[in-house]
Amino acid sequence: MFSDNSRAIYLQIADRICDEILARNYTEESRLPSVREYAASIEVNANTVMRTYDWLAARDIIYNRRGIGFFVAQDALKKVIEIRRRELYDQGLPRFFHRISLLGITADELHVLYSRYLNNHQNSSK
Amino acid sequence: MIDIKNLSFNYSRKKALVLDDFSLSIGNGGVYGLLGPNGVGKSTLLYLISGLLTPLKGSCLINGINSRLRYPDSIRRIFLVPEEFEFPAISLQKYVEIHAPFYPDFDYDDMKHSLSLFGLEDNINLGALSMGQRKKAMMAFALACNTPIVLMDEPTNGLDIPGKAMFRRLIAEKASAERLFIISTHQVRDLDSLLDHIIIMNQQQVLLNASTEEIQKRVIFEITNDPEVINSALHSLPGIGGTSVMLQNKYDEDTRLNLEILFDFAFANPQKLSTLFNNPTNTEEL
Amino acid sequence: MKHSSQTFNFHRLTLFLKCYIGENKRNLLIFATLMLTLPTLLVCIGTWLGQDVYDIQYPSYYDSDYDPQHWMVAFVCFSQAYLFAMTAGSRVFSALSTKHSRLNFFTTPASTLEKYIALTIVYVAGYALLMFISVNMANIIRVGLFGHMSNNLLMVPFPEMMGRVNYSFPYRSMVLIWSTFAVSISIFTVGSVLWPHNSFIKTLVAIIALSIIIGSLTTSSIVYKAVTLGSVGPRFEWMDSERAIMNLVIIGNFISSIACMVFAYFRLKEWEVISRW
Repeated sequence: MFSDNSRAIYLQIADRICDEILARNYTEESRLPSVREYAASIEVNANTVMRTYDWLAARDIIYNRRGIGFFVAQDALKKVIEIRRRELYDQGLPRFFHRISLLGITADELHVLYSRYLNNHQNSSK
Repeated sequence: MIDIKNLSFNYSRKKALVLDDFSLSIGNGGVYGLLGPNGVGKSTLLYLISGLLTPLKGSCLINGINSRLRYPDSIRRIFLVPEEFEFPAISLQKYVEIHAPFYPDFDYDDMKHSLSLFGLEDNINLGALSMGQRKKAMMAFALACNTPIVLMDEPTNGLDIPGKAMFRRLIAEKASAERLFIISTHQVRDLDSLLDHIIIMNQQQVLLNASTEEIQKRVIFEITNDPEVINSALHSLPGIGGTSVMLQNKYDEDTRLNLEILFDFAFANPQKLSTLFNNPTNTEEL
Repeated sequence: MKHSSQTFNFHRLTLFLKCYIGENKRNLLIFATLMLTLPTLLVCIGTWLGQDVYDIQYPSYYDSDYDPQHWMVAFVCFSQAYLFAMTAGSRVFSALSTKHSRLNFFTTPASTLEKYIALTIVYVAGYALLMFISVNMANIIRVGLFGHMSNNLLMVPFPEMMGRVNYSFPYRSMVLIWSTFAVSISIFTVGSVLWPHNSFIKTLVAIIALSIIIGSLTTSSIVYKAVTLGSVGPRFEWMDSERAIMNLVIIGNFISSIACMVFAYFRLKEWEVISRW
């Protein structure tokens, strides 16, 4: 159910929800499953899911309507992208840069490879 | 809610005490994992809590009432799902008809729902079930009784993999702050994301009784290959993909609870464990 | 239900009764069937085998209300009654014989008293009722099937069974016999609570052993007295009355039965899900 890494489960669940938002499976203002429903579906203690929802609410990705449930916020997509970007800048990229610098890959090579990638993927999505 | 005070118990005067001056306090709700190696006395503890055995010394009070008194109103608030049991050779309907009236909060639809998750119909004959199916049927019935306390002795033993998943799902559905589940197991993997409290038992004693939140506040878990980290860790377990380590949580980080290493640590170094969780101010001594 | 007594509640008693009967239907049915059919069967076989006794050679030999097969009927009915009393007694706490059944028994939310009373109703009252029906049924069927054989083939209902045993006190004898049934069933009930597994044999062996011990002690003390003193002690005038002796025994029997049943209840309270020794 969860990969065997040491990332806290509530964060792994938050990642999953953010992925769903990025993939447009959860649209803005759509209702999320209740804490209990979601916990049951992934076989996790409801307290953990509550922590996830709290974490997401603290970052304004979702909000709670008392008595009705949790909903995806208006500009959730933007927020998720922001958060992912920051994570990438703070952790993902430094790690990546460290590895490729060890391999002696230059900034120019990187630029070429990335541009080529973007081209290929834009063409295929058309 | 459950107050175990200085409980001592043995099965025979010639043998050693199974529980020696055992004390434990359990709150009103949540999912407690009762962990310990085979034969350490987990079942015995569950029987003592249910009033099925008489302690040599000490007592077990549930909401202030000694469970050994076997008061009907106490018994009907606990449901014990034993590790092994037999059903009479009657239909499930008949079984429900004669047993459910003892539990005023019994919900038939609830039982049907659990049964369907397990792939069973409600018109089955209990005498014709395999061991795994019996466990599933009993669990479905037990959960539907809606008792405030549910004790389960090795519930995942004998369940197939889908069965274990359904079991987890049901517990996740039913757990709440008002309902207490105590699940004993030696297979920590089956339950790890469901538990919110961990009780680790050793011969005769409680090694640990803490909420997962408390545990995660004090220690963090990582997988690493860095020898420096491994050497400075509280405990380590080599494994695939790296060595699992347990470190003090100095920077208030959030990591996933690794029950296997915690369990191993509890047995390798019970003193350190006790200092770590029972005396938070003495972390320097580590 | 919240404020109901924790010792006894009638509703819970009926729930437990239903529960126990529902779970043990098969065994109870078998036992009941045996109780109802065996005496009838044996009585009829006995009547058939002994039919020569009704040979009309000496018609005036018999009183018009004397059945020469009386003793056979009495013997069959008594032996069956004792046998079933002992068996019923030894099954009272059969629910305690295995760990699984004990688990089920003790986790059912009823008080120990309610469980005890329910078991007593099923096995003791049930025994009494079924035995009563069975003996009468045996009589009726016997006369129905074989009555044509002779005018002397008559019903031998309970008091009359006693009457032929003791002309003077037919009804007191009946109560005496009832008191011995009470003792039989209650002793075996105690055996059932002490040794629920293989209870019948164990209780029987215990009784035989006890009888031998007590018998030897009594006999040897009497013999000792006779040898050393030349007599076995003063005669007690009041014990010469047969009626007085009967009264004594009847009271003693009923008191012992009650004592046994009370002991069984308290011993039940001590039971655990796993035997300690």
